[in-house]
Amino acid sequence: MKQTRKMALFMASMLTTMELLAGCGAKAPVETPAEAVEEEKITLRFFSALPDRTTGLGLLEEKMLNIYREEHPNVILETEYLQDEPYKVKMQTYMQSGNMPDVWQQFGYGALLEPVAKGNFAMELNPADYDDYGFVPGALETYTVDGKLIGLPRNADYEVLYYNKKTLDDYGIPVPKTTDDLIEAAKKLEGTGIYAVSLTGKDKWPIGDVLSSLVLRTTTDASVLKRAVTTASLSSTPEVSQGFDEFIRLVDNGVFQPSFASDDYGTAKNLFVQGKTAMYMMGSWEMGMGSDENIPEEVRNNIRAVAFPLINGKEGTDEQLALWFGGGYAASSSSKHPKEAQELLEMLVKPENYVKIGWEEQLVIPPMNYEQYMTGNETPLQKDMTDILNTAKDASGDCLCDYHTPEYKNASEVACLEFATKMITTEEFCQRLDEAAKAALK
Amino acid sequence: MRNISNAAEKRKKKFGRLILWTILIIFAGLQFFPMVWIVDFSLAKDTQLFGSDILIWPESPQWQNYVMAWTNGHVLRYSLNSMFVVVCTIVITVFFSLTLGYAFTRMRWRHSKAVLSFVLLGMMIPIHTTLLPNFLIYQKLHLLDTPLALILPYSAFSIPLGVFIMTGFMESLPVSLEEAAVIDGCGVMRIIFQIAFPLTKSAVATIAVMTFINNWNEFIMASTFLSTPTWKTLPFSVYEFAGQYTSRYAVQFAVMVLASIPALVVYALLNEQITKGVTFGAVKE
Amino acid sequence: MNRIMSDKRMIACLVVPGLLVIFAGIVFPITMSVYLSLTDQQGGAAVEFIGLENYVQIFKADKTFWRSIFHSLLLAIGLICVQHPACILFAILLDKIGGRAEKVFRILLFIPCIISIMVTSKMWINILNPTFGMLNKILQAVGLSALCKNWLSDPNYVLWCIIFIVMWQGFGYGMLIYYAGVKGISSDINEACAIDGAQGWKKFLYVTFPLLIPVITVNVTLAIISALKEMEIIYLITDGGPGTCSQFVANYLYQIAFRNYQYGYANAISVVFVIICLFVTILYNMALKARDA
Repeated sequence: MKQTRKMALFMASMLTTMELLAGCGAKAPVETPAEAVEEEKITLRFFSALPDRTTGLGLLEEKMLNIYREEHPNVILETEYLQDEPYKVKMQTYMQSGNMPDVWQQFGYGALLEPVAKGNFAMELNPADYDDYGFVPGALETYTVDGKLIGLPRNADYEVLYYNKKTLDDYGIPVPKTTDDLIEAAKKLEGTGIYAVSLTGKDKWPIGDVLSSLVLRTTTDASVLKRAVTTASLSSTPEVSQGFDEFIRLVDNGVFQPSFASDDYGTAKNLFVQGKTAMYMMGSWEMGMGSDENIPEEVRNNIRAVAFPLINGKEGTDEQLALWFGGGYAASSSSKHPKEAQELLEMLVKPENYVKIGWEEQLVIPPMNYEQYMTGNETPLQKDMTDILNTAKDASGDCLCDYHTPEYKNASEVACLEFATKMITTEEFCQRLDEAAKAALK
Repeated sequence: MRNISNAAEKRKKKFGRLILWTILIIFAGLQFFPMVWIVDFSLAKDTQLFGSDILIWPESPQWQNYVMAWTNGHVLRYSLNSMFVVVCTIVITVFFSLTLGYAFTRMRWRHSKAVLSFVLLGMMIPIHTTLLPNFLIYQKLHLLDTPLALILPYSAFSIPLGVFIMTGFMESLPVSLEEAAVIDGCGVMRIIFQIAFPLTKSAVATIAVMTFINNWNEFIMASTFLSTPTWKTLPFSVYEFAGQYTSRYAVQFAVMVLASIPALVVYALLNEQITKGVTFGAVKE
Repeated sequence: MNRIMSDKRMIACLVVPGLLVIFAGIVFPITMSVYLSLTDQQGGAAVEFIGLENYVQIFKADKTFWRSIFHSLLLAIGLICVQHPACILFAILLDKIGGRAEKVFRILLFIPCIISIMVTSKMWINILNPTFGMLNKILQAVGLSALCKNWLSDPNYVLWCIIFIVMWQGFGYGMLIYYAGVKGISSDINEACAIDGAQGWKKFLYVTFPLLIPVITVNVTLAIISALKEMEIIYLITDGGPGTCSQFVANYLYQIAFRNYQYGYANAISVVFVIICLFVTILYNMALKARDA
């Protein structure tokens, strides 16, 4: 026993030494300014929900952190990355104990923002400081609770239909414009081993996003869903049930892969990027697929996007867009180094780095005006995404599950999956959501 | 006549054996299948994973999956951390199971039965119910992000089962040896560690193995109490990797294979002990 | 002997440190849970003392909680009525086959117990996947397409899938304990059986089974506990869904605490949960005593 322990300690120390050496090697070329050395070393804790540091948003975040490290050699960043679900658990334990990281990724939903606001965990920011960041209307408002700005948004989110151009061409399927087109596509693909649309159900909230987008397609009034959810009157709003019914029609016609209700986020995405489905219903944050080298080239270069399908015979048009700002950052109100923490927070989304690099490398749709950073070499996918955004005139806010309290969020998400697996009817589904909303409003 | 019936019986016996073998092979296959499956998938290309084949024929095994898994999965480091946490837990659990077990079965004191029942109740309590309060406590004590934050709850939840096995075992041991020792003037401590300990080796092995199995793969507590890589345990390899390389499924499987190896090695080495230990622990109750 | 064995100071030395670990690791946090369960604590907000309101809520209105308990009960029945007989059967078969094969099979059958649940869960999710999973592919290949199901998202099948997976995962361990029991039956008894001509069923019914009863008792207790405590497999495979079709208490508790941020309520659930676990143990022990008497 003793032997093993000694061995373990020895190995551990070896590893640490090796890492130190590696660290020195990497840092050597960067000359540290002489005065910085004398500055006192301080440590900032940074926590985010992007464990993938090599593609998409995680890669971009890593780049921003590196810029910060270079500019502040006296600051040591202690970073922690957990996936969505463990991230939420960890956030909860941090809040319970009041032991917040200095800067963290903050989701912009009512349900996840509210506890942070209620507990006064986040540093209050001055909106005037960000006038020159060029945030689009609605972006900062999302992170403003009770008149206080407590976070900065990171991306502009909207639901689109990604498609694999090659697969559609191979099977002679035109790019779907309506839900009828989707059903048509599913018929054409029947028996080929390829399914029409990837959707994830195990994570539940993506179903909520799709349902919200469908409701928006039934009307030209972009705020109908928001009104219904915030006043707990989904049952008495016909547009809502029409949108929900349309979803069931898609399920019944085999538009989604058969396992959609039990597939997690990664599986659904992989079915698409490995060419097993022709399309993928997901938010704009997945645009990074177009630059992700882990995705086989013949798929990666053929990924395009089109506006979320319309519904034949319904009023909705491409001019209405469900646009929200789900991802952002916040700094701790109790940070020991408030100045540095705020600088780090700002660095994470500073347009001259964030938007420039993020857009050039096809990693993000920023929540700021990014026209000035257009290079003219945009990929087709980037052009598609920009077109969808530019066509929109009327933007609606959050999705179905993102209002009210965490309790509402969980209850509505569970109900979404029950609805998608046809355990409950549209009517029961609306009632369930209303009940949850009423409980939250109390 | 006699010959014929003998032959028939032989044939019947042979047939019986055939069935026996078939059933066992099918079941063993079913139980062993995950290893085959996971190794098979870990050598595949990402594009093959969602194909129409049941198993993937490894025409060109993708060994680089393992290279990537090894270099980016922190398997070695996290294994050592896990090893450290589990070994400490086992030592603590065995030590206290022995002292408590001895006190409950050999020593005579008034509330012995009641205290024993109280300790055994610990077996019924789900470890996850203490997750939240423990977080608050460890935070106050600055134990978060240290191995102690795992060793303490793991030990506390392993001791009741350890005592359960140990008392059952000790009751079946004859006391004559200990009596002789007392006459020779041995103290209780010496009796426990020099006489009882060697005799209860099988029970100790069982406790060690049970503690190992129950805690080696524990993840939810570990992910709540640890945040920096310094002390992260092995299940983090799998979990972190799944988050970091979302579209590299085959490499994820390679990480899982690597993460399974330490437990398999321990099992292979201790297989006889485990079986013996379980035998005594269970039968003697 | 007597004097040494009732030395108070020695007893304290042996008992107190061990008890301290249990107090620090189990009793203290649970006491804290009891206190917190009387509050309405939610993520970060001020704590307010609300008395027994959380408990009233559980007993009056929380259908999911009671459904989870019911699922645990089904799982326990499944373990006792299906898994354990299978374990006993295989323990006996293993003993029969003998020789080197015995050892090899023993190792193979135990393997799922030592592989991380994270790995086996991932495997089952893949096998049961209706889009690319193996089970449906096999069913199609043998012409039973009609039996293909959306295993993990169909409310009618998901719970049974979960129960099956739990039984599969724990099979090796149960079998090993029974195997130990079978091996513990002394060779004298086996010889006596051979002389009396007691073989097969008869031997099992009149000799093996009665001798295994103590082992069965222990195993059944452990089965009930593990059925109540089941968490990881559910968390990783279905997360209790769809709806609450495969929900179990530990996972529900976890969701309330960490997804709903209803910390006070989650603690109340955990207290009721602990009481139910203890109640089951006591009931079971009483049943045993009644039987023995």
